[in-house]
Amino acid sequence: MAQGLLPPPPPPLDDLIRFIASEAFVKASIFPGATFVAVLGILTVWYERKLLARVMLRIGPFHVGKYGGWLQVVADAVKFLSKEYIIPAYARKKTYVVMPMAAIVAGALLFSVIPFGERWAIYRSDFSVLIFFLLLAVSPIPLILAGWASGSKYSFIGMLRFAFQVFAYEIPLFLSLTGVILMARSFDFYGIVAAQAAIPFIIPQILGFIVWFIALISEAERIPFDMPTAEQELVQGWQVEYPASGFLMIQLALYTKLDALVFATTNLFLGGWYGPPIPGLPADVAQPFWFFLKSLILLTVILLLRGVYPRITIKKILDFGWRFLIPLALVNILIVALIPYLATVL
Amino acid sequence: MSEVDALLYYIVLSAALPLLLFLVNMLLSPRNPTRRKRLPFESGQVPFEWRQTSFPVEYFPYAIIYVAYAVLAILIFLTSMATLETSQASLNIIILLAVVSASSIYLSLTLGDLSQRL
Repeated sequence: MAQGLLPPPPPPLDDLIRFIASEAFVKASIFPGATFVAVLGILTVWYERKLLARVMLRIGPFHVGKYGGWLQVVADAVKFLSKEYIIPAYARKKTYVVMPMAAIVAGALLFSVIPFGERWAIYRSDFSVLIFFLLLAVSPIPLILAGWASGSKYSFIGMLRFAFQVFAYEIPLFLSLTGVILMARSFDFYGIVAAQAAIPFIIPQILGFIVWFIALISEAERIPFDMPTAEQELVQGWQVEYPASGFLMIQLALYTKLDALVFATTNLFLGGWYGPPIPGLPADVAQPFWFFLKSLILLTVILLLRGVYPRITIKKILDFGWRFLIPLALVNILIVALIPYLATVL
Repeated sequence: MSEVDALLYYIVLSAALPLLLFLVNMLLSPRNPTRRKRLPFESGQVPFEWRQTSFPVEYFPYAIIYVAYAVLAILIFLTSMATLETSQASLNIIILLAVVSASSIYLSLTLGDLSQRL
């Protein structure tokens, strides 16, 4: 009855409402789009601080926000935004200002091809895994340029370490991805998840998962592989000159990248959104539920490492990547190639 | 094509987010740069001149290994993808992978003795 009483909205407004309610815009802006990525970055920081506090027998964020200090990260962000943006004397100004923004874009674009359920993906492509890896390979470049453009000795040393570390761990990452693609016979995240309906790839490819997991931690620059931004020795490494929103953007980009890598791992090795069916829940809700549960467990393991392990030296990081992970990844591909061949021979 | 639309909207939104953060920062922050503030950070020491001088880059052999291994990784990727099409080629690819794995294990055992690696 009330609908009949209201006048119909004028055409431009009608179009706007239709545009905002359209599936494409909802996916791009809310879930799994921009709002989701931003909120996820904030929640990940809060979760990490709480978790590490529990590991160290502290309370962690407490005062801001009613439940568990969950607004503390928002308060920190507001504080960063109200600080002066100081450009150092020796910095290359344009590169210095633009690169943190480029880092956020590169980190956020990783989410564009990751599916969170059969319906929940921004862009579905037949080559989504390759697109993901391409974006992942591009994402360190803004960070390396940011370290270079700062014009500081600490930034330069951190940038060099970062470059060497990323180069050393990109190839094991790629090789373990090859094993997954070979076993699923698909370049698509959907095809890879569908191939894991019976058993997730972590069981036949445990070697590949180990290689991928270690390379992931290194790519995301987490402890024990955070030599480039060593807080104590190198005073934040390549990020040291960044003030205010520059630092905020770099941190947001790094956490976004970590989350994207965790979600990709869930799709590649942990069976994606497959799980026991929950009575009373439609599949569109149950699939993201299982997906996020698996991702949360993986994220907890990654964040716990920061509370447990010390930092290892850059020489050991490089040695480990080149001398241990690459042979292991190659052996993994060999096993994956052998399995169907032996099945036909025997 | 709602998927392409979604991708385009997402790219625009993810590019707008850092610009928004930067603008808000410019609006909220004070602006009075001084010479001291703009000096590069060197743990409280007076920063000394270092701009365009040479810098000893260690671990250079690793960069060369990277070039070799990057080509190798692409090669392995392409050849293993060939098995997706032809199942007869799988034995050849298994032999190739076995040779590459064995040689990489040998390399990793001998790389530790490489004299000029630092």
